[in-house]
This record gives sequence, structure tokens and C-alpha cells, in this order.
Amino acid sequence: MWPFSRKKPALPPEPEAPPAPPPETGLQRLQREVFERVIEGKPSGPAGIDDWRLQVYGGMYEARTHDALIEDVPHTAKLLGERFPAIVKAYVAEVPSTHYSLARLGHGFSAWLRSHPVPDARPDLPDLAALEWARSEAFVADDCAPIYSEEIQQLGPERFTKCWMQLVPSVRVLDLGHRVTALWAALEAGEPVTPALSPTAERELVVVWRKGFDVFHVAIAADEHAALLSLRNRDTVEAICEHFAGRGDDAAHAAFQAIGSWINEGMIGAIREPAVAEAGPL
Amino acid sequence: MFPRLDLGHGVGLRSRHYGEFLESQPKVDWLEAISENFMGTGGRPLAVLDKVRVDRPVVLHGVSLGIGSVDPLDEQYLKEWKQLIDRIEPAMVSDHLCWGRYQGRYSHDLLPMPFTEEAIGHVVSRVQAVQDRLKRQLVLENVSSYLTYPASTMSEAEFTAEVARRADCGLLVDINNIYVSAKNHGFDPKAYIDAMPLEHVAQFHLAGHFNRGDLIIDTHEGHIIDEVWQLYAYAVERLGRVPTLIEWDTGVPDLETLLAEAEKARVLEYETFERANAEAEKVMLG
Repeated sequence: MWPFSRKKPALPPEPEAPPAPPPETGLQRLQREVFERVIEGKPSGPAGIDDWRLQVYGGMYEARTHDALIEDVPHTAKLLGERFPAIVKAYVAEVPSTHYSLARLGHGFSAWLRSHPVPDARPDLPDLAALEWARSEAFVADDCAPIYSEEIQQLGPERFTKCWMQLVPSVRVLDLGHRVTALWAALEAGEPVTPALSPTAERELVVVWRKGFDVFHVAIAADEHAALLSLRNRDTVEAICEHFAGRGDDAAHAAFQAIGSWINEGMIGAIREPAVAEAGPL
Repeated sequence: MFPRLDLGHGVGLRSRHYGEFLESQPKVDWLEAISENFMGTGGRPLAVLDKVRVDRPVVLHGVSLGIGSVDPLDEQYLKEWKQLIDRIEPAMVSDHLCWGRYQGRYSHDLLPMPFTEEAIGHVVSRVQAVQDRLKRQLVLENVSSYLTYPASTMSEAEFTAEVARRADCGLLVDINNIYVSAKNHGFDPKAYIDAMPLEHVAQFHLAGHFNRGDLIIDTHEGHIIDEVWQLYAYAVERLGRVPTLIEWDTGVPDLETLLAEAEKARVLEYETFERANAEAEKVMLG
């Protein structure tokens, strides 16, 4: 007896090749050809249409995306100067708009700029763009009524430390490779970019949020940054406080001072006790 | 048919004037808000829209629906649009008779349709799907265009009218867009207005434009020119009184200038109607 059967197991039937896509309709072909010419810049458009007319639309697309991105990252655009239009053109060619709102065009600009360094440009521009984009997002983020410190006082310290908190939708926690908040402040005030504002390749941790209708940002220490990320991961207040352990005897004070400032600034949208938290998302 | 609303003369709600609308009650019959600027957002823009909605009717006007696109309708768009509509309860919901999205990418432009039977069928089925989803009639606006397609088998006016009839939607007749396209393509703007189905006309738009010599570009900038005012009077005479909007989106002026333009439209509409009534009376009296 052969120790192993030589009979091959029955193989599953070969999957059928997917059906060929239906042929393009006249309308589909026309829209593809116009889109390819006007938006993607292919060398020719549909037959029978003067190319200069298609280029009118192409020029409007360039102008519109340029103007939209300037609104998202005005200071970055200013520092890039005359190079900005060509950079926008290259950016939208690689990161086309897939959102119905032109205001979302800048969502990938900072990351793209980081991976496409502009020759002879300041190395901190991707970080400046990241800060500007975070502020743009915060300005129109969903509304959410913040909680008040009285709600925590009602819980008492013991119950509070077992809770988890939720940030309001406008909060953005950034980890930047350069110190750019001083640069942003100078540009916002219309001040010249002095040598003192030369790029500094030092990590800068920043939190951005909206209070009422106004957007704010501030540079924060590494432990507060870690605590905010922990908060965002729905860790308990107790776990959040542990991020301040490095401050030794001052840890508890620092933790509650940070939490107090988040509440005062309207950054906390909800506080939940574990039993409620286990019931699922808000 | 589309029910006629008696809204009067409105202007666009633009960020330059947010402060004035938050702090006072400028005298304007109604306001138009660009849907996409308020969809899926919060903060100051939405707070302004909520506030102005308390004081006067608001019309939501979109630019990214892409009713004529061959792409499937954007589900996220429809969801967030419906949420905004439910929140604002606008007097009217409109967008453009055009296309702009292809394979998930947005051109952020109002690209013209070819005027064919195939395009009518495509647009009509999508308008009906949108109207079913929104549980209300959609209003579609004719766009300015800078090119025509050799594939077209009918005029733009015939195409537009046929879409409105078959889909049973409203028509936003943009007088400036008719003027711009008529000049760019050499057709009679009055014949276009004559071809609009009266029972579907829901709104008029008026705006400024830029004449670069070889082409007129619809920039929504500057004062409305005399020829467009005259065409507006003709439209009022032929199609009747419907809500009229002044669009001014580039180099947005102070609110006073904008409202003066709306007042000019009101006076012209009144004078046109008075004259038409007087002439009708003369005919009746022999």
C-alpha cells in the first residue's frame, strides 16, 4: 500500500474571467476625452472641438485649484512665491480632488510637499502647511458643545479618574519636524521673516482647536502631547495622567492643570464613565 | 410643473458679509447659500446660515452635484446634502445642468453637456433619483459655456426644456449665462428665453461677466451690463415673475452695492410688469 495517495485532490474550478466591461457609450467617451484633456492635460481632446476652447476650461481649473489652495495654506503660498502656481499644478496632478468641496483640496498638501521637496525652499514649509491645514480644518469642523468643569466636580475625583473623555471634532494634535509656530505668528501679523525665524529642525508638538468661532493653536510639551493622544485613544483619565509621571512630585498637579486647560478651552466634548463607555460609541 | 414662489429679490450669502448678517438684519428678501460651503461642516459659516435662516427664506444652490456626469452619484454628497436640507429647510434646492466629476475626481467646474437624446435620458433618470432621495423637486440652472459638441443634435434651449419636462423639475434661468453663451456661440438669446417651458421656470439669476474680446467669461464679477438687464426685462415679460438672484462672487463688493443691484432688479421687474399690464389693457379696450 502506498503510504500516500497519488490521487490529486480535485482542484476547485478555475474562476471565470470577469465579464468584459460594456463598451463606452457616446456620453462616457465624450466626458472621458474632455476630462483627460482639460483636467489631466493630455495632448488632445475630443475630435471636432477647437482645442483653445478646451484650454479655456483647463486654465480655469488651474486658477480655481490655485486660489483654493491659497485659502488653505496662505502663508506657505506666500513663502513659495512665484513657484507656488507650478507647485499647485504638480500637486493636483498627483493628488486630484476626490471631494465635492474645493475647500478640501489642501488635505494632502503638507505630506505631498514633504515627499516633493522644493529646491532651495525652506525645509520647514511642509510643517507650516500642516499647521495651516489643521487650522483650516478646525475652522469648519463639526460643532460640539464642550463640557464644563462643574460636570467633573459632580463626579468627584475617584469616579473621574475611571472615566474617559472625548475631544471636540475641531481638535488636531500635530507632531511637526520644525518649530513653525513663531514663523506662523510673524506671517499672520504681516511681519518680515527675519533671520531669527530661520528654519529650526527641532520637533514641535502643537494642539489646534476652535473655541466658539475662533481657531487657536499652541505648542505643548511632550507629556501633554502624549496625554492628548492617549485621550484620543479613549484611555481613562488615570492612564492619561500617567503620561506626566516624568515630572516627579509635580506629576499630579501637571496632569490636572493640563486637563483643566483642555476643559477651559472647550476641547473636551464628552466625559463618560466606564459602564456607559462599554455601551459603544457616543 | 414647478410651483411659483413669491420670494422677491435675493443676493448670495458670502463670507465677506457674514459679520453684517450676524450683527444686524440687512434688508433683503431672501438669501442664496452655496450648498457645498455648509455641507458636513460646523463653526462660523453654519452658525451664520442658521441665523439668517431664522430671519428670511434661504435657497440652497449647489455646484458639485454633477447631474450630467457619467460617474455614479456621490453617496457622501447626497447624504450630507440631505442633512443640510433637513436642517435649513430651504425654499428651493438647485444645482446646474452640467457635468463635472469623472471616475471619482472632481473638475470643480460646470462642464457643458452635449445636447443629445442620450444625455437627456441620462440626466432625467438621475434627476428623478435625486428627487426621490430628497423627496422634493430639484431646480436646474443653464450654464455658461465656451465650447459646443459636434455630437449635439438639438439646441441648448430645446435640451434644457426637454429635461425639465421629462424629469418634472424646476428651471433656474440664468439670464447672464444665456447672454454669455449666446455671444460665444452665436444664437439668439431671446429665442432661448421663448423656448423655456413657463410652468417649470422657478428662478432667475443675474450676474456680471468678463468680455475678453474673443470670448465672454462668466466671472460673476462687476455690475450687470445693460444688455443683460434688457434681457431680464424680456424674460420677466415672457416668463413672468419668479424669485431673482444677484450673483457677485469675484471681487465681492460691500453689501450696500450688492443690495442696490437687487433693488435695481426689483424696480425693473415692476416697471416691466406695469408696462405689460398697460399694453394688455390697451389691447383689451381696443
